[in-house]
Amino acid sequence: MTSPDAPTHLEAAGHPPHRLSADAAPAPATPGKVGMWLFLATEVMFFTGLIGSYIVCRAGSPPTSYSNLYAPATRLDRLKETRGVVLTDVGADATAAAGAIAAATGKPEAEVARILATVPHGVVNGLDEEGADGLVAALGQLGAKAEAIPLRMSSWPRPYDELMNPLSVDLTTINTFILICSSATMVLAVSAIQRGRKGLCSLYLLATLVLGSLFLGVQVYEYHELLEGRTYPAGISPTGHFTPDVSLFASCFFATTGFHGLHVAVGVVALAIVFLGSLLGRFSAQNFATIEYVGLYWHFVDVVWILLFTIIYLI
Amino acid sequence: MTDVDASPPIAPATPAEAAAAASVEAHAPYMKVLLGLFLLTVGEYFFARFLQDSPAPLMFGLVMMAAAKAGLVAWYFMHLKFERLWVFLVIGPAALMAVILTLMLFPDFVWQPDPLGEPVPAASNEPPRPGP
Repeated sequence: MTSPDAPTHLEAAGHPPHRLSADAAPAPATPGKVGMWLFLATEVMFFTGLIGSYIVCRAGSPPTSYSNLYAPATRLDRLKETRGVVLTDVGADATAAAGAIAAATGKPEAEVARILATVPHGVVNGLDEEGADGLVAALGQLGAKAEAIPLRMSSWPRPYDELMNPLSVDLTTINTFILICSSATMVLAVSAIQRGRKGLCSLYLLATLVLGSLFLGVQVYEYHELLEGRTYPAGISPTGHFTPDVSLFASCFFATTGFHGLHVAVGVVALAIVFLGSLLGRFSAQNFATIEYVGLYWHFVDVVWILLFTIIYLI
Repeated sequence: MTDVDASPPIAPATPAEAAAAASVEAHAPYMKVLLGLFLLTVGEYFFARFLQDSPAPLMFGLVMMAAAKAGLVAWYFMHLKFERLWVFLVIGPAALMAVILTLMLFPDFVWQPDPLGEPVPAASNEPPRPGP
């Protein structure tokens, strides 16, 4: 068995230290590495099935499935001429604004309260043109800011449409880059241990662990906001909360990002184990296969997220 | 005429300098790739924001940028660039099946239902209300 402190095989072969790079490193087909790549091949098929199912659900969704005024899957065939009012500011007297909405629509108190909770995206639906204009005028007299809008339909919630899509592209763009940075620190950790730099390797592994945990934390925060933290307008959810059962979009979103999040969580646990092993000096320039395997898995998780981010959040 | 070497003397690199050079060289491609990934992520963000009303260019551009990002991670970070043929033989069939599955999904894009063209049923969820 080789000593952990022994020089790398490249140094032993006479390569000068400053020429050490991944270009020069041979890639032997060790059983562990073959097994890891076979596992990743099964993961490719798993996520292809998952993303494929998402595409099928989205492509097959009827063009009237989502609207800016009514809950997902509402039958809109007789509601096409209706108008709505978007309340962007309640004004000084919320009670009076609630009274005006109740008088205009006949909606129960709980539903009016939910509309007010979604301001600046409070949607009052079920009005005709005259009713919408009247409500806007009444709310204006009370100091509230409101606007009458027509019904818009869509087969799938579009990004940046805050009346139909609750997902935050801004937050997730930052989170995506966090995961990409963790992938970079991971490959730097592998590079460091290949060069025998154990301390540097531990540092990069710690950075990867922190960044991976941060990604997971942001995703948990996003889930919390969607599931119960915020109240959303009717076009997103009839209950006000974006739970998996409110629409096909919601269930697809939670299924795909949930499975990916599960993979990230497994990766974070694996990174923690490898980091502890690194602190205990179990890896060296000649014994770094475990770090490399965990790195391969981590990069794969990153690749999957790059695709999911584009397909679910941006398109 | 004396044989004088006019070039300045060149001192060999110290071990510390050599280690620093090795460190810089080893990091350089990865940091360049990271910069590329950052630029592509920012590009995707603004592309999606400003072309949200043009579905076809939006989809094409975003898919291309996502493929470039995934390719950079796989090629450099997963070291596919430095791997031998066996890795591609392992991952190839899975990738091929992924492509075939994706191609088989195209009918779902083409044959979409048109419920607006269907007859209007007698009942609906919520009729519009008159003004106050």
